[in-house]
Amino acid sequence: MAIGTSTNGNELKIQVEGRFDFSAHQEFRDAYEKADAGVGAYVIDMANATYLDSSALGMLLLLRDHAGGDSANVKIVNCNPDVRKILTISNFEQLFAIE
Amino acid sequence: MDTSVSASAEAPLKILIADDNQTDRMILSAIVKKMGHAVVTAEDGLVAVEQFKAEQPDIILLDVMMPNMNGQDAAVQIKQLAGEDMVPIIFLTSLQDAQDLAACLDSGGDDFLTKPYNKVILQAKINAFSRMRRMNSTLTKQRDVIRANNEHLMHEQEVAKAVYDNVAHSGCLDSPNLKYMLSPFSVFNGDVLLAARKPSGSMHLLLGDFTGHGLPAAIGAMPLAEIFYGMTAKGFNMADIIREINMKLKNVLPVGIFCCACMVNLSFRKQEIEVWMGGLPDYYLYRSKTGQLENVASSHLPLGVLSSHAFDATTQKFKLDLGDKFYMWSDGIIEARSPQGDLYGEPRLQSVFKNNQDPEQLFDEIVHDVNHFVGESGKDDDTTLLEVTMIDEANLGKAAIDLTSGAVNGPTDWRMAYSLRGDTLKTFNPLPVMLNILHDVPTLRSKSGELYTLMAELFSNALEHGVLGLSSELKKGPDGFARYYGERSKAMAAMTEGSVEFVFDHRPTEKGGSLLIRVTDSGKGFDYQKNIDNQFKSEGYSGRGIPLIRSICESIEYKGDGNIVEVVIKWQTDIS
Amino acid sequence: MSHLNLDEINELKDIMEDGFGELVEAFIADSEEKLSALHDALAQGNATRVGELGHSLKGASGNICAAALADIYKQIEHAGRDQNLDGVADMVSQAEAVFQEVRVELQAL
Repeated sequence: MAIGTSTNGNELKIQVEGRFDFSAHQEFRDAYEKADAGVGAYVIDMANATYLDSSALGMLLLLRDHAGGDSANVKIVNCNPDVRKILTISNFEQLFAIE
Repeated sequence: MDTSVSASAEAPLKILIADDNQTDRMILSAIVKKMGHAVVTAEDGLVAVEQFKAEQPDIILLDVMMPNMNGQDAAVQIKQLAGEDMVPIIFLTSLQDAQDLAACLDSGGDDFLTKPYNKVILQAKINAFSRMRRMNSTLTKQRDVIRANNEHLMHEQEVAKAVYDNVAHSGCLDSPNLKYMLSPFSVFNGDVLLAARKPSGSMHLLLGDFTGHGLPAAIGAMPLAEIFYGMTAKGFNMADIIREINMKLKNVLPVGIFCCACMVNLSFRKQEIEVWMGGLPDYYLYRSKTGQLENVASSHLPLGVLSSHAFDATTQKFKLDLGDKFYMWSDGIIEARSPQGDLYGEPRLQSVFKNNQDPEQLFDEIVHDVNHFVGESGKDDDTTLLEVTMIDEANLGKAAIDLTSGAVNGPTDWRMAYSLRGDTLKTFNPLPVMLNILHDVPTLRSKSGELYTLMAELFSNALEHGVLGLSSELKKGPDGFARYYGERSKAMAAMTEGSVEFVFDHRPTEKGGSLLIRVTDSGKGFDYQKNIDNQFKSEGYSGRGIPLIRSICESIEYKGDGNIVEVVIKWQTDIS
Repeated sequence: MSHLNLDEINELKDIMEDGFGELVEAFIADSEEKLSALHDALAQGNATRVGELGHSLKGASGNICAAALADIYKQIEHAGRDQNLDGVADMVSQAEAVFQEVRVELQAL
């Protein structure tokens, strides 16, 4: 599982490749914790993510907490049907903007 | 420059020299002793083995060709005797052929030394093997520590599992209308299955699936189960319980850990099922008359994610006929894998229902089908499955209410007074603080919106009409509110003395509880009519939000000079 | 002509320190014993035993830095291993002769 990051103004985009599971834990955290201060918006790009499990959901919650909790601005984009289904079952669209 | 290899700085070793030639023994002994090591000798293979047993040397120099037992056979025996211990054997040989030398090593030797003996090389080899021996010893010790720790951990997990089983899989799971399959490794997959009867006879069920695995996942089950059993036994309704559990888990679990859950209230009297689902895949409702399946989907986030104020305890309700069944599972069923790696999936599950002839066999057929699919790989370890059937309450047996488990959360019999005076009354809004205290009472939590509205109304009445003496008549007319608030600001600025006191008196009743709120202000009061039927029609009442208050409270009564108002809110905890 | 490699002998002395004399004694005693056994084995036609003794004496001679002597024993060893004792009697005589010279040299050190 690989994580790529890119910045556009104050928006941090994190690309998730392959299986988004517990093994991605440290890399994912580093991606947002080690970013420069002043990031106001986060975009998680799932275009190349093949799989999402409950620990990945947990990691998204951690990111949301880091990004300000209820006031966080976190978008999850380019989900394939499998990923979308998992997010829907968990009702995560109540916490994140999902496209 | 000193060309000799210095004796190593480590502790002296004991070295066994086995050679049938005396001159060989003497020369080798001299070299080895010069390094500072001790020497033990043997003149044939048999003696070498005996010496090994007796003297426990650290390193062995072994001649290949010896009488009685040759070097290779001696090496085999010595290695066997050494067991896990690494005892390097260096063969002494005049052989030159590469194949012969390799054969020495194949037979169990670790190295060889060819003649004529080179002192420098022998010393270097002894040093190298000494380092290897020490490293091996360190590794063995570390491995033993790890092994002991691991056994300790395994034992702790067994204890944890025993505790967990007592907490997480108990209650009335053996009721005649329930069938269940529980993973034997549920400590390790974080699954929880709870069932308990309410005093009213209804049945609460909860299936929980904590994220993660192992003890961290299982630990969240403790407070969850305590709350479930404690509140169910006391007759609290499902929404209050699930709200309480969510709050507890939100407080206790770290961010990122949560519990996907389904809670059910099965009312036999009403022939109805009430469902709250968060984060779980669709469950099935099976209609016995038609054989049709209805999907019931999660509409909520899992437990432990949202804070109390954002949590939604809204439930779905379905009427049930006798024989209708509700199926609940952890994701272990849908995600079970065959030895080839295929997913069991929903279509397979649905076909079990379609092919079924006798609804009473459904549960067994599902279990059988999943086990068959999973085959020998045994991945069914991760599955939790519950079948709930609506039956006649008479067939259920008496509810054994477990009042021993769990403390009731929150106080039920208490009184509190809170008053604001003078400047503080001018500047401080007491409502959030008071609401916070009321929030500690589980049943009042679900009414927090109503309570806030109620207290805001009572407080503003007490402050504006009571202490400041403003007439609500001012509010009438087109410019009414502007005028009123203009007067209010003036009056507030001018106020120096004044007080408003709130008294809360909370008591349990037979069926639930009651909360009395008395608000006393330091104003002159007003001429309230003591009306038998409490019509509240006189002028003095207008603008005091009486209709609103009456919609929330059981009763409202004015006392004293009209500067005291008492409202009572009552509730029943176990009506379903 | 010296049968002993003096450089090697000096190194050996260095290793053995005070034990050098003892080593020489041991070598001499061992050689005499084994040469006697060699005669017996030869007389019995025991080629295997001849090979073993040749091997052993070869090693001992090499240890004491008498390369030429060791060479002779090497030939005796091979003959024995080949189960062919033709000409071995001569080799043994030769070895004995060289041994005596070596002995003298050693004791003179």
